[in-house]
Amino acid sequence: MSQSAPSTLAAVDALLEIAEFSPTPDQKAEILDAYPHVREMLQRLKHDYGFSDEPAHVFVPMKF
Amino acid sequence: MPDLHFMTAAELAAGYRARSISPVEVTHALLDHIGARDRFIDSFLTVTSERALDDARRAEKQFMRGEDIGPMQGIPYGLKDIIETAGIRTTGQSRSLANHVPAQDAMVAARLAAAGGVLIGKNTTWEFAHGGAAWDVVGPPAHNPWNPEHHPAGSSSGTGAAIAAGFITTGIGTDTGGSVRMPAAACGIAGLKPSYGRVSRRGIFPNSFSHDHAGPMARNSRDVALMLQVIAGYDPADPGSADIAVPDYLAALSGHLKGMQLGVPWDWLEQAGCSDGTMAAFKEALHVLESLGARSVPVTLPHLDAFSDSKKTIAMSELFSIHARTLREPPELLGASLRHRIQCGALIRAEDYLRATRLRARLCTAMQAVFKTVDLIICPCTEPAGKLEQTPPAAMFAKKSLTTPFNSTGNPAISVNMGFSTEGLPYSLQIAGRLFDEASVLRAADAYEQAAGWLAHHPALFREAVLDTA
Repeated sequence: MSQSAPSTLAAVDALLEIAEFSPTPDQKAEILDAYPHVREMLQRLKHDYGFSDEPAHVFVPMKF
Repeated sequence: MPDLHFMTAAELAAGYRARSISPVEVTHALLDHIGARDRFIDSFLTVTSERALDDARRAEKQFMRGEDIGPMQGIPYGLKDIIETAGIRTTGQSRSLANHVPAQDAMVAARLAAAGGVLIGKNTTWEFAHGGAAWDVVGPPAHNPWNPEHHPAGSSSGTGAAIAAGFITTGIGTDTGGSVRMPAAACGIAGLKPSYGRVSRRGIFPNSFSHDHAGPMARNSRDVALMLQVIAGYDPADPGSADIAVPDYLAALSGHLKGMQLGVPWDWLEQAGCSDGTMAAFKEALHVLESLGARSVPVTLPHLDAFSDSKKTIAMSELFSIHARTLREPPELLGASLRHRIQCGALIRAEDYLRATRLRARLCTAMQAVFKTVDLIICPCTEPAGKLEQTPPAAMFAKKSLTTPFNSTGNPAISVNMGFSTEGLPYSLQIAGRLFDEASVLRAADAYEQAAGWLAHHPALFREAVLDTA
C-alpha cells in the first residue's frame, strides 16, 4: 500500500461516509490504492457539456 | 462413426433428421467426455446429467414421431452460471449465492428449453461476471483448452472453454464489456454480443444494467445464427428489451460480401497496442474479406479511453448499487477480486456518473455516424490468451479494450477465430454492425470462416482423446 496524503485520506473518508460504507482496514488500504486511478479516470470525464447534452440513460415511461 | 463431440449444431440437426444419429447418443457422448476430461479445464460448476438425458429423450421421441420444432431440437447447450434455471443451483460463482436455487428460468433458458435444446449444465464464470479469475469463490476458474496453463478470458469463461473442448455444442454467455467475445476469442470459437435489447436479460444477474447483453456462443457463426434465432425477441418484462422484428438469420448467410463496405479503425489498433502477430493475422483476415467482395476504408472513432472511462464509471457505480448490501454486511462472502472492483464504486459521485452518461451519448452519436458510411467495423478482438493467474487490481484501470465500445453504443459485434499464434493460441477477429443488423455481422463472419479455414482446428488435448477412445 502506498502512503496517502492527508487530503486524499480526507476525501476518501468523506466519500465512504456518504456511501454509508465502513470498510475493514484491509479494504480501506485497497480503496486508497485505487483512488488515484479512479480520480484520473473521473478527471478525463470533464467536458463542456451544454444544457442539451442529455445523458445516455433517458427515461422511457412506456417501458414500465 | 461421426465425431459427435465436435459436430456443429447444424450437422447434428441434419443427422437427427436423417436418423443417422440420436440426441440421446450425443448427450451420452458429451457427458462421458465431460466426466473424463473437465478436470483439465474446470468449465462446469454444475453438470445437469439427469436433466440433459430427459431433454434428449424428449427430443428423440419427437423426432421418432416426426415432430420438428426447430433448429435447437436435441442440440446440447450450456448456460453461464449467472443465468437463472428453475430448480438448478445458480451461484454466479459467488459464495454469497452458493445455495441459490431459482424458482424460475431466465427468459433465454425458457426459450431454449421450449425450443427442445438439451441443457448439459451450468458453466464456470467470474464472480457475478465481473471479478476476474479467482480462487476464493464457489469453484476454481476455468482453463483454456488450447493450453490449460492459459486462461480462457472471461467472464463467460467456462462456456467458451466447454465449447472449444467439445463438451457442449452451443452456449449462452453474457457480455458487459466483452464477456462473450473475449472467451470466444481466447478459445477460438464464435461469440456474438447482439444489439442492446435484442435478447432479454430477464432472470440474468445484473452487472451493469445498460451495458449487459446475453448472447450465443458456438464453434462457428452459423450455429450462433441458429441459436440467436431462438433467443432473440421482445420481452416486455425486460425494460431494455426492444420491440423490433427478428429476421431470418440463417437466410442472411450468403457466403459472399459483394458490395459490403468495411470500416477499419486503425487508430484503435495503435491505441490498444496490438502485437505484431495480431496485426499480421488481422491484415491477412482483411485480405480474405476483400477477396470475398468487400471493400475496406479507414474510419476514425473516438479514443478507446473515452469509451473505457464512460463505461467503467457507469459500471462501477451500478455494480456498487447492486452489491453494496453484501459488501456492507458479510464482505467475506465475496471474493477479494470482485470486492475490490465493487468497493471502488463508492468513490464515484452522482455528478461523475452523469458526466459518464453524457459522454456516452456523444460516443453513441459518433459511432452511429460512422455506421452511416460503412456496413461493418472490423478489428482484432483481443490478444491471444495469457497465463492463468490473478489479475492485479490496478490492471482494470490500465486495459485498453477493443470490445467495450460496442457495449457503450449497443451495436452488435461478434468474435471469430482468426488463426493461431506460434504458441498455438487463437487470434480473434471482431466484426461489428449497425444497431439490430446482426444479419450482416453474421453474414460476414460466416463467409470469413468458410474462406479462412480455421474451423477444422480443435484443441489437441480434447480432440485426440475422443479419437483415441472412439
